[in-house]
Amino acid sequence: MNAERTVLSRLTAHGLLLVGALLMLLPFLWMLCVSLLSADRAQAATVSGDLLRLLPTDPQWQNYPDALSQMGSRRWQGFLDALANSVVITTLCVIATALSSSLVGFAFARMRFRGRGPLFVVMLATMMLPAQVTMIPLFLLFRHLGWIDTLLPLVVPAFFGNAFFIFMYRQFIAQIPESLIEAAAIDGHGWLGIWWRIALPLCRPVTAICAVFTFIYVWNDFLGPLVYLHSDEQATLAVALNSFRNQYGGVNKVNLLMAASLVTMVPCILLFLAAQKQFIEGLGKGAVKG
Amino acid sequence: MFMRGGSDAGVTRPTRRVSAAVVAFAACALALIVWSFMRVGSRELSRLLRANDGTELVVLHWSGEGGPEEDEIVERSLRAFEAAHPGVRVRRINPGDAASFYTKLQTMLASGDPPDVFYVGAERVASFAAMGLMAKLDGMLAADEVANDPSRLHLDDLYPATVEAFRYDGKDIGRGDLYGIPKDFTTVGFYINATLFAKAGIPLPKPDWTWDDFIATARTLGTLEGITGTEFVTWPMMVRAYLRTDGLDTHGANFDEVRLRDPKVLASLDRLRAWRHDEERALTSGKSKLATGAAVFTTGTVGMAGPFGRWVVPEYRKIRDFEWDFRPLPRGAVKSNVIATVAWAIADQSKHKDEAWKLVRWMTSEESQREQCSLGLAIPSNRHVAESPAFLDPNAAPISDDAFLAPLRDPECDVRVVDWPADPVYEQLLGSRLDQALRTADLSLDAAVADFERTWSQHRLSPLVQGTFDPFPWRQAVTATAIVAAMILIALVIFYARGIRSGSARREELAGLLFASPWLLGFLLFMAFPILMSLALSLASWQGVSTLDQARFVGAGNYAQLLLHDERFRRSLWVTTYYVLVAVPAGQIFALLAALLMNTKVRGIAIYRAAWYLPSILSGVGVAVLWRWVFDPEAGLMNAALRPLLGLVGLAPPEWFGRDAAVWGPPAFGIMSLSMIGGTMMIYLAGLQNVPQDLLEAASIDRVGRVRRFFVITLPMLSPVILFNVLMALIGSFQVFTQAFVMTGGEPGDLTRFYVLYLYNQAFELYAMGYASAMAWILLVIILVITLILLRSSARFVYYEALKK
Repeated sequence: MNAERTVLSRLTAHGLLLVGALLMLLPFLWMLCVSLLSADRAQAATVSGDLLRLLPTDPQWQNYPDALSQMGSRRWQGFLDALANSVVITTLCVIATALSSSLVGFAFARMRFRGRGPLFVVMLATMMLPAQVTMIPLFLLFRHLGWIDTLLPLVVPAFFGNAFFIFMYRQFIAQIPESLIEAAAIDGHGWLGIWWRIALPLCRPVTAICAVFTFIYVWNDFLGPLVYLHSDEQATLAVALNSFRNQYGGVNKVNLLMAASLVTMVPCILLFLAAQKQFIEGLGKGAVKG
Repeated sequence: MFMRGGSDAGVTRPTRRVSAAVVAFAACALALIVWSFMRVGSRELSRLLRANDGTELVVLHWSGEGGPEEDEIVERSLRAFEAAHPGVRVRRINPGDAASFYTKLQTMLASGDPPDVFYVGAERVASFAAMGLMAKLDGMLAADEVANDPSRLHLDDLYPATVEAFRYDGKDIGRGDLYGIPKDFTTVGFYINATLFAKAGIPLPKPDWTWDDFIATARTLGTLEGITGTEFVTWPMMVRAYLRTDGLDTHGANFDEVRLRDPKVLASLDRLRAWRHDEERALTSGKSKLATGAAVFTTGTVGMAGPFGRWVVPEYRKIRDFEWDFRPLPRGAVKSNVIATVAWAIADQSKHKDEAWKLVRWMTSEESQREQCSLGLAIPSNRHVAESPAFLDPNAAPISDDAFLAPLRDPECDVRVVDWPADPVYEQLLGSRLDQALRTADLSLDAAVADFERTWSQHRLSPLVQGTFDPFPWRQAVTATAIVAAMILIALVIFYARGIRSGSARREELAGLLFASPWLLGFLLFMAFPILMSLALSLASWQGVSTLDQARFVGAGNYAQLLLHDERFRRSLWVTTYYVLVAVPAGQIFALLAALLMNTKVRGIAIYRAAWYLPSILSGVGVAVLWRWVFDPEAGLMNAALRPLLGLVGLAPPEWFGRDAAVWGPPAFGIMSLSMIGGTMMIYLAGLQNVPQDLLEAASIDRVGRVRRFFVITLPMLSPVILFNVLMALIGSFQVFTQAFVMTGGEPGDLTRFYVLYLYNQAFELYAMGYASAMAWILLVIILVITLILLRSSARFVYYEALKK
């Protein structure tokens, strides 16, 4: 009886997961279809309700090299530069954010110091000002530092933690059983040791999430690079993609735009697949047995 | 199939294969990272070492409708300029679309480092000139004439209407100083699907057609199966173009004299409204129109589309399924047409005005224009080029290239730019009210006109506009801040030094502060300054395009105006609250349910998880195009799915961003946000992994039911994570911006103008940086209050292992 119920609930779970997955995959499939259409058919397909017109009966694989070679004003170089810039900025930001945020999150969760509560609220409050207002003051600041048109404004702030992830680390680190921390302290670990040997390994899912989110956020960030970088060769992929847009925000070559967008997304997908393993296995093993 | 043994045995073997894949993946990633660092590193090094000789001109422009191809042509022209002018280097910046361009321009202007040469659209000339951003060009023209410079620019070669568009005397466009040299322009009219005309058995319209001809044609075309007669866009510029063909306008000789109450104007507008609302088959009722609306013509399902300028031509040249052509705007009581144009301007603060002027001359020369017009997307402003085969290319569609020039040749036809006053609020208010009246059913024309008159006078008569204010006391502000900071510092030192604590508590405190120091330092370096600055600016009137010393002190003026007299502010607050109320609960419940599903141990779960997460990766322009298509009321996927379902109860699916936007606009964005729950879902999933299995198992042994187990064990254990996600969702949802910015721009009317979108409008379109800062602080207070309430009350229902007081 119990087995039957399990099979049944498994089937429902499968069914729900599958339906959801198909729904969630639709946008991706749509982009894939449009990216393989010829220019005139792509334009028509994005405004017509006829789903059949979307099917790439005559797939234009050439769209992919065309799209990449047309990013920026210099053939191929624009794409390669943008790729390198995005990789450098993103790598630095991911490492810096995870390290600094977990450290600060640990302090907020586990260490007693006066002023912790008010500081925490101030930290939360910093997330509540929309970026659109702090943008110009920040620009003035970076200009004063001579950082405009370098990668520094996009990378350096990551070393000082990110309120969102500090909060996330704090919520998870606060969940670690007190006994584990005490045991580590008895073993002679200092705070740094407890953070590095106990908190960080137990927070592997959080770190995985932090890495994935930071990666995707930085990789896709448009406003930052738009404002701080002037030169063509400094552009990131998100900015280079904007060259497919035109004056009124429309898109000229929607098929090429989709092709370029999909290529740009590939690292995000790969990272997610890689991180999800970490993120699922991490806690199951160590923590909760304690 | 579901036998455990089988699946376990299956797991071990692929592990080795997977690990090989992981190694390969890691190696590739590492190689990519190393290559990137080397490429970027060597480039940055060479930039550092590069000698700074000669003059560098910075040129800022956008891609126009030509996209990457137009970009390439500009690049070629600039390189040719460099070759012809040794010692001058040109640095070109092209942010892509015009909105990104203006954002970038503004940050550069605010920092006192403007580009030397930049594009300016005719609609911004008055406000840019009033703010003193552009150099006057008449002097340079005269100097060239005196010097008899062989490459001098002859204004007579350019169409007078295009030159006049960039003259401004402090009150009116069309006379006074010259601020830009038009690079190209367009007249407007309707694009016609000739194949559909043949099918309907009607002749193509004559070049001097009337509005009666127009609507009769649209009605006939609308009788064809599955065809709408015409698409008619209601941008403020086009509404005014339409009114001018009746010899009318929204205002009199100057902008102080609003004429919307004139019965003739109301009657003319009402005719347009009636076409859109009462004759579904003849005119699109704002259904298909999202953003440009030009794309709808390419599907071949509308007989005519407009009023558009030349800019759609490159896109329409890709049409293969039918023949098409162009006709100028129909005539009403009078013959009239309008021009839209963009010019090269020189920054008033430029340090290299002479070189910049040479560059502007170069870019608007006959040779450059000849090359630029090969894309067909605009009419060269130089008439010798426009009237030559370079533009009137007989081999490229449309056949009637000449129809674009005809209004200019007709002495009876009144062709002028659609001018706007120096205060950009006028265009936004007018556009917002007319757009809502013409596109939705919930605002009558009379009410729209009354709204406009009231809000425009509220703005114009506000102390912020009328009053004169002293310069912002930056010196005092800085001194006061420094004193307060010093006092806080002293208080902190005393506070920490005073309480004598035991050795270990003291060490813990020091270590805690040390651990938190990255954030503390970052806060002081990169946040305290912008935050204090925005607080200061919220008390100031500052356009954000001049340096800070131009700011004026208005006290609580911004706050008073916002809270007491700004209806758009109230509307945006309501629209945002509505969105938050829909999106946050729906998103959290959906994400938690999804995470529970993902936490089950079924086969292929990794693939499911990835699939559910995928939409969260999507971003940028491509997604906006996608969602426009999904929510299209007729062709869209959403309504295709809803139609049969709602049909059962006799309802029609909503026109999300058209007629029904007041009710369905914000929830549509909520639905979009549901596809982005991947992140929240992952955090819940991580939280679920944290729930001790032994507790659940113990409960299971005690025969506690599954649902009860969830509520008694899982939910309390998950409560810190729930609190985190809810708070983040609240903060994020109150700041909803990007999707609306790229998809609807807040339209129709202000029905999807979310709070931060309105803030952005104020900061970057209406040049009210101080006002926008005040808005930001009001938003901060709102969110902070909600957060504190949540945090306070959370003590009762959130369970923490640590953090016990």
